Amino acid sequence: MRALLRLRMREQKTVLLAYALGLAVFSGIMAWSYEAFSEDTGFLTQMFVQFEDLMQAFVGVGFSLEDLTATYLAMTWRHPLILFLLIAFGVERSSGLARELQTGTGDLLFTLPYPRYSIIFSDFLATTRGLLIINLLLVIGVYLFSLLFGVEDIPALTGFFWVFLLSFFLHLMFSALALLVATLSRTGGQALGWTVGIISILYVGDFLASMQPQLEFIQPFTIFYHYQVSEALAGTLPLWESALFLGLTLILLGGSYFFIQRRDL
Amino acid sequence: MGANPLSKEGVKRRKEIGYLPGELALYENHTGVELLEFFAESRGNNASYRNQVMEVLSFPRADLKRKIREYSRGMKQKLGLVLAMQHKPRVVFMDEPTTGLDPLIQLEVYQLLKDFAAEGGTVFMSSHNLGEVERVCNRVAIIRIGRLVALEEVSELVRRRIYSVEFFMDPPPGEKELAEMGLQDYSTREGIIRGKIWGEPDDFLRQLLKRGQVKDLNWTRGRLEDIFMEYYRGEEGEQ
Repeated sequence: MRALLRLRMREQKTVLLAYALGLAVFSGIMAWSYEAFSEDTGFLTQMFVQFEDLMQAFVGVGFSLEDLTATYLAMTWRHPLILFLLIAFGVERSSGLARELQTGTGDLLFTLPYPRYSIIFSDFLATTRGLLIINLLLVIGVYLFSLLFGVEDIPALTGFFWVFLLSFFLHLMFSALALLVATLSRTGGQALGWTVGIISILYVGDFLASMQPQLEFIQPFTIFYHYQVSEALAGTLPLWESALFLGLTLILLGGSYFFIQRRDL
Repeated sequence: MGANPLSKEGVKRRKEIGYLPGELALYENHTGVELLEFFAESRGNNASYRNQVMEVLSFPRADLKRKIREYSRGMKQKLGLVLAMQHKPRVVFMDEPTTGLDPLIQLEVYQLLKDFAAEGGTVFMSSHNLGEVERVCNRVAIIRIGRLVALEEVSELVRRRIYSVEFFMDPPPGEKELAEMGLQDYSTREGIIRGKIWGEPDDFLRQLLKRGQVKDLNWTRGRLEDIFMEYYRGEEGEQ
């Protein structure tokens, strides 16, 4: 299993490096652009008050105008680009199994003395390590650049740690979803398509429910609703949300194990 | 291998097999040596046969440090052969093992497989190349629509060999003569006679030369596929 894990991790090397650079630049931009608002925090407050629904869709429910910096920095994690990048990393790596089965690399792997579950879980473990690294880089990046650019009222380090946990668990869950879909798919494209489709529906559902009061009832089912970054960054321990994401991850992993053991390969 | 492939025992016994797929898809971003090490480590750090196989295939060691995506088709095939055999398995499964290899290396591979079998190993290979099958295999299985329709010794298969013949002779032979010579499925166009003969060609050649002056003669040995097709036709006829 160790050899398999090393192989998977080696596959991620280049992608991880690109992510590290990209996230560093993005977190720098977020911290630097705060300066533009800091001269007129009234404008920022006004923006949150006037466009509350829209801002809620961007930073998640439960943002507080008393912790304006935390609310603003929370946009880093809820920014569609960052969400897309972090989800894409986990989903792309976890869909690898379906790609391997499609191209024939899987044929070779399945002749090696590994139980089927170790082949898929090695994929997941390597993705977990990757997600851990990029989430850590993002948190460190935002914190350090905030210090560097003199952002006022930077949230406490515990807040950054809660955000790190919340973001890591959310993306871990999406990776587990991708893994489950991959165990059921015939091609890499099919696996990727279905997973991205499901996640997009959840995201759009959350966005629309934030804007349309009559759709509010669907919001708790959209997963993204529970990604309350601004609250976590302000210092609230996201216990329930983390447990929810972790619980779903375990259920999805159990499903992957069940299906891969029974799949006719 | 005598065990359920999903059972613990089945998984363990995979250490004793080697596999070369027909369409080799390797991890393109890894180097050759990384892949060899991964496969060896997966099979209990066993690469006792690696050097011998690499030598036979004339695999340049310097190329092991290059990424797989930089390999040519032939190099990938060589690497696939090393991956399948480096741990000296008990049984090796190969799909068209010499695809993409130059003729000299092909001969070396045949010898390698023969030596491997002589030392107690078993090779299962699929091929459409009759010459290759003849050189390496003792027995041949014919699978049709997922069903085993025949399992024969190679000597038996050779007896069924088909040749496609094309000749021009003066004077042209009549239909009766062609049938006597053993020519089957024949046709004539602009004096050129085309047909098929079964089995060894000696008799046909002797009779051909006896009957007139052969102006032109061309023949090709039938592919395994032709023999299979004839075989199937025979089966269908019997049914």
